Amino acid sequence: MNFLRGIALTTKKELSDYFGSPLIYILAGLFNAIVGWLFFNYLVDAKNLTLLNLSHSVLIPLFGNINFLFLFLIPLLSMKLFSEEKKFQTLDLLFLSHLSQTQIIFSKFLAGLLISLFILSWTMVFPMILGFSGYNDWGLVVSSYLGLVLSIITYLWVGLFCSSLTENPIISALTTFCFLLGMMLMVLTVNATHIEILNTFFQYLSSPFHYESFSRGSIKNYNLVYICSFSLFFYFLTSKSLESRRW
Amino acid sequence: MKNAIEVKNLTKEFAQIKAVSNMTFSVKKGSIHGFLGPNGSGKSTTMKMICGLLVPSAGEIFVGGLKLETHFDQLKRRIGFLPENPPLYQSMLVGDYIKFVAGIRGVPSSKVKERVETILVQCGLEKVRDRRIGNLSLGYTQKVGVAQALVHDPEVVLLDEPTRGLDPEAVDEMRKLIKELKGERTLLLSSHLLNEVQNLCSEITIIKEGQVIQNGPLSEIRSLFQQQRVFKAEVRSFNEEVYQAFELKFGDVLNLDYEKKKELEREEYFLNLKMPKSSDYRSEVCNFLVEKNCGLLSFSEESIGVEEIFRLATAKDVLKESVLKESLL
Repeated sequence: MNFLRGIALTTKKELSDYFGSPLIYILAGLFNAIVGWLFFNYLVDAKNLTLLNLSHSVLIPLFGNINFLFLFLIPLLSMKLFSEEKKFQTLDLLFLSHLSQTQIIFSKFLAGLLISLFILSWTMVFPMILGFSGYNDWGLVVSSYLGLVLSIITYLWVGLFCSSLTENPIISALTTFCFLLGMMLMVLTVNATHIEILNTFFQYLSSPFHYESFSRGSIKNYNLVYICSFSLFFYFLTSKSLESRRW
Repeated sequence: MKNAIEVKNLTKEFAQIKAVSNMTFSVKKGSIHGFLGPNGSGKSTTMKMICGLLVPSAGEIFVGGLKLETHFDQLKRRIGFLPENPPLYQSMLVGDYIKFVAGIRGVPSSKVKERVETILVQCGLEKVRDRRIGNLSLGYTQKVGVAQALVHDPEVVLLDEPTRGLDPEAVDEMRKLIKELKGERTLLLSSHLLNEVQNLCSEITIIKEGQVIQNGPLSEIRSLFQQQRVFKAEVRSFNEEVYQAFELKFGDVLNLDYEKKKELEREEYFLNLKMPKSSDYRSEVCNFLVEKNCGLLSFSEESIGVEEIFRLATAKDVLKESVLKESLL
């Protein structure tokens, strides 16, 4: 079967499942309400509404918080991707189909990514509000959104892998959340150790470290290497986890 | 006739527990083959291995002459599978689901619509095509399960307990559907309803504790298990005098017992005759009953049912065919 047609068929089905459930609307509403409230508070707290101040007092912390909120959101969005298929034995239907395992994994990933981008897209209204007031540092905005998208990609791969481990969506969500939180808390380990090599190692493994580069608008090539290697590693784990069902 | 499925020395171990052990059997092309066994005997595991969802620990599977292990991608197109719990997306509409399955099972885009229509009609699902699968009755749910197994027009169809939990009317409809498929395709049917297997299947495989106990045409297995021929006769009158005369004439070779029953205000007698497999005394017995003016109403042979075969074959301490034959002789 044509690689892209296979992915498109399954992604379309996944998206209709997402939009057919009230969960997505509740999560999107809650998420944007929280981000809107934070935006309002940062704006009120900013004393001088200059270009520099708006970036450092409003947008950088706001994007940082959006990244943090996705830590809670992604486990809920990804929890059903494989676990429910396992629970209702529909995964067997996919395995017996003409879809390859890669197509199955990528279609699930793509559906999760598109739904996350749908939720994220509503936050664009906040930089636009600032834009109407004369804010024009769009480079930082684009770079931060790019950082957020790449963060979401790493979170989703973890969610996809955890979902492939269990038939229970709650367990899948909790495992993903613990893993992502652990990855975020690695920053504390970085601060605690004085050994240079360990410091650099943990720093590299910690996802927020890479996001920070994007939020400052200075993207390094190792940030992209991290995202790619992280995605490949979790794709491999997910693939092995799914294969193990046949053993 | 060629074999559609050949299973050779198949073994499956789960954490050192043998679910299937050295299983060998074959299914003829174009036949409906019954796959029987008690709960936990390895039926579902075997079916999952035949369709490639589980990898065997040892042994070989051939479908249409091709080795499953090496031609899995090719054979996926030729196998349809209805597991014990049909793989259904509860939130989807029946029509959308069948269309989705047709798409992922490689039906060309130009033929999807036509194929979906055909399968909806064939499985009697036209009325419910716009209903959510989660809202369907169990009978319709099973039919949707069968439809997904057939939508890509496979040569070999594996049905694991297709009538599980269905009411008699739904069982009848499912049986009709399975009968319609006969000839076009090869069907391997696992079921607990032995009467259903008797009605549908020409060949059966009985397994127990992951091992094949019996495999072959139903008539052959029936004759193996049938120790003697049993006949039932209904007569208007019968008494001790006639019984004594019968014993005198046939006592050495036939065994007779009778009971009196009242049918619609009139007395009737039911005779139960047993004779050796090798001899045939039917005409002699009928002539005797006519001569004695017993008023013969009916005379028929009682063949051993699949239920009895299953009970004998899966009885404790009966695992090997040789042991079984010895125990019957």
